[in-house]
Amino acid sequence: MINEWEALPMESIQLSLEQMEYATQMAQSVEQHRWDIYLHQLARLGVRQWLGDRAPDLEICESANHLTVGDFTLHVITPGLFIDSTINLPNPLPKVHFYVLVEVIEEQQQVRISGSLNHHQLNLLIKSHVNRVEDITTIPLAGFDPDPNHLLLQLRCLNPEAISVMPVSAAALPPINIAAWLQNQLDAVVQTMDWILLPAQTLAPAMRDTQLSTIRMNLARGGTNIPPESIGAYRQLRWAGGSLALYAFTWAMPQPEWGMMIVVAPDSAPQMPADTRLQIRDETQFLVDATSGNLASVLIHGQVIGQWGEPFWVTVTTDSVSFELAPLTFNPES
Amino acid sequence: MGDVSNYWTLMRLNAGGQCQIDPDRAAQTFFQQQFLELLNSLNPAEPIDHRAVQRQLWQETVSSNSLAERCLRYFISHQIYQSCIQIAAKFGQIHGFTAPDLYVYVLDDDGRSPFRNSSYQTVAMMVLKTFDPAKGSLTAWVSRCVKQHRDLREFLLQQGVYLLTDWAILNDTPCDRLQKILAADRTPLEVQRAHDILASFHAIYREDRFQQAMRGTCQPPNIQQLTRMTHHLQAAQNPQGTSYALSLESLLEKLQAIAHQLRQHRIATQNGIAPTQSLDDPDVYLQPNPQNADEDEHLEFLTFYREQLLQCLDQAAIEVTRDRLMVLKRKSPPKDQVFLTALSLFHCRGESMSRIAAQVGLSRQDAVTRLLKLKEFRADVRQHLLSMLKVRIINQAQYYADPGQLISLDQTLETILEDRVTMLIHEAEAEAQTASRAGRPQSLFASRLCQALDQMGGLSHD
Repeated sequence: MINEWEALPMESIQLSLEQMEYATQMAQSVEQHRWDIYLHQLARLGVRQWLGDRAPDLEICESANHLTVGDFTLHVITPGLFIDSTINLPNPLPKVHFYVLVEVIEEQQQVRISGSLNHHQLNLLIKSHVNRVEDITTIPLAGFDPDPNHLLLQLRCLNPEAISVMPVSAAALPPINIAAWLQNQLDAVVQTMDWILLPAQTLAPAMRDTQLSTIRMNLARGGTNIPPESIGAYRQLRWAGGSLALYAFTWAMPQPEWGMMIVVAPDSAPQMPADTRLQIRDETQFLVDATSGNLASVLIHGQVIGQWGEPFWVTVTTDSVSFELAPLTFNPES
Repeated sequence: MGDVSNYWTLMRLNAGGQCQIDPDRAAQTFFQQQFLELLNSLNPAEPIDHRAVQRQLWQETVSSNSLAERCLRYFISHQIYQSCIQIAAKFGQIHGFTAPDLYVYVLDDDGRSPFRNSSYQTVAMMVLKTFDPAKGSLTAWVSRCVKQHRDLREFLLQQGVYLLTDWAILNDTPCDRLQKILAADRTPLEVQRAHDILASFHAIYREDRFQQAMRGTCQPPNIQQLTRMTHHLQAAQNPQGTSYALSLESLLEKLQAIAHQLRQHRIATQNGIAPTQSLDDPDVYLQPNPQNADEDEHLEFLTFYREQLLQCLDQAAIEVTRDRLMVLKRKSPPKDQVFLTALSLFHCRGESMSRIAAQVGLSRQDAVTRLLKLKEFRADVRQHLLSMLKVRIINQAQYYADPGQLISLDQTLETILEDRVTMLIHEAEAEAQTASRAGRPQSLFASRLCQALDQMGGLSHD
């Protein structure tokens, strides 16, 4: 009997009713794995609370799948309760600097920071536990650094370069600063990469407006509106079997955010190839994944919103060909 | 044979709040007559068969024998007492409570009040109302009722000691994980059935909890939920052509059995994660620098920059204190003033936690410990300090470029700060350094923090 009583560690966070309610709402709209998502939300709220209480000196930003704390990104891992000595990691795992292991005692509205690992350490741990069954990797809980102070120490003091998570291919291409488009300018780099600012001064006047208004009309038909003040650029994606038109629109937003809409449309042919795919990702995960499917819809599009300086990578796949573009970013200061 | 007297002596709390044992002659006589043969036939070294005794007393109680009922009641009181002792022995030291703190909640039979007619339900009454000797021993049942006692759990929770309910364990165990755990010692059919039962529990009970936004300790599933679970189970079974009819009681027992097994598994595996696990185990996280091999180098570095270190220490102490106050001010009720006073009393006057508690109006010393969280406070000061040093001492970037180096630098810094014979302060300074009011030598950390708090107007010292 005595074994059944457990001690709550000092680093336990008590969640408020409002926080519980928020997590419930976040998971409400999901059909599958609702409880898991609910627990994950509770874990994130707990980590945010803990950071706010211990380290108000660190700035925190929330994204869909991770937290940005100071110079680092952080992903929360929780199975809810620790029933076992191992934990299942989904495959793929978001690429962040730190992974924080959290136990959630839902019935007591408590969250415990149980451990952390940085990107390199986690990869080492995963490699030494080759247990991949159906996209699930199993690693031991004991493999995590149990001291939450170590995590805080690194968040506050470590040089970000000490833990690099950027995939090599993306690091190779310099980012294009599309803030310049708002000043009706193109990067010197961009000019060599076939981007054309719209309305395209190089096209005959009659053509310029038609091109843009066609796009706007088609999007509006589908319920999407590009802000009228947005500036766009166009480039052609060409391969042996044909070509596609790629448009990027950007518009100013309250500091420090920026918005971008990417549109893929037919270019040389009346329709684009079936199963043309548009993907947009940030440093850690895919945000947009849209396919034209068999319906040969007139165009595909996706929209992202980011922080100034945050890059996005656009990939278009069509007819067995893949175009990975240089990352687009928005830096009004440079 | 000594423990037989537990059946005719009552363990209770007297008016002074102390434990007292009251013998009951009538009960003793009754017991000795009832179990005359048993007592006489026993080899003194042989343990008594409590279950047989309890079964018989129970049957007599059901037949309204009030003496038999008293015997059971007395036995229960000793079990409650033992439970409190055990819990306090395991957690009391670290979590700041003693067994007497627990008696007040559960050792509530005073032996006098008419047992059945009282409006207040004692633990003993609860036990006797629900006990079934066919299902287990009275000792186990008393344990169980103590565990479920709401006020006791509430108190222990405040002290940081906690017991998960079966239902929380079931909520949070995925079905496939259950299968893996049970597969070790159950037949495939049993594993499948347990899986299906857990799946219906998730579909009904857990879904209810979520949809109805229920908060707090999980209550046992009610009759309606159990009924819906059996329907869900039947629907799941039918495609296989096996009919699997479960009574509600049976289902509840099966759920509890599954929870019990998961709980034992949790206990066994969680113990393996405690710091006492062998460092030779490749799965255990190893500190980047287990023996802090770089300590000498770090000491040299930190000593060389002692001026900057001391300046940064002072500033760090102020910053962290201010941050804490800001956070604590937002709590309801605000805790910032109490924190500042307690922090000053501890570091400047060297007061003990219990004396501080008295002075700031907190009822228990562990409330002070929980408020101050000194280990975390010191860690934050060190981290602020290191962050400042990084900016001031640009050519020592290597310490900040590697997690292992950074962590062991922090360890070395901790050694310096906690040292009472400071390595950093020159002789003359050391003599001039103000000793704490309590006359004990202060650590470098305490002495600088105290000066910082004085600056912030923490306490008037005279």
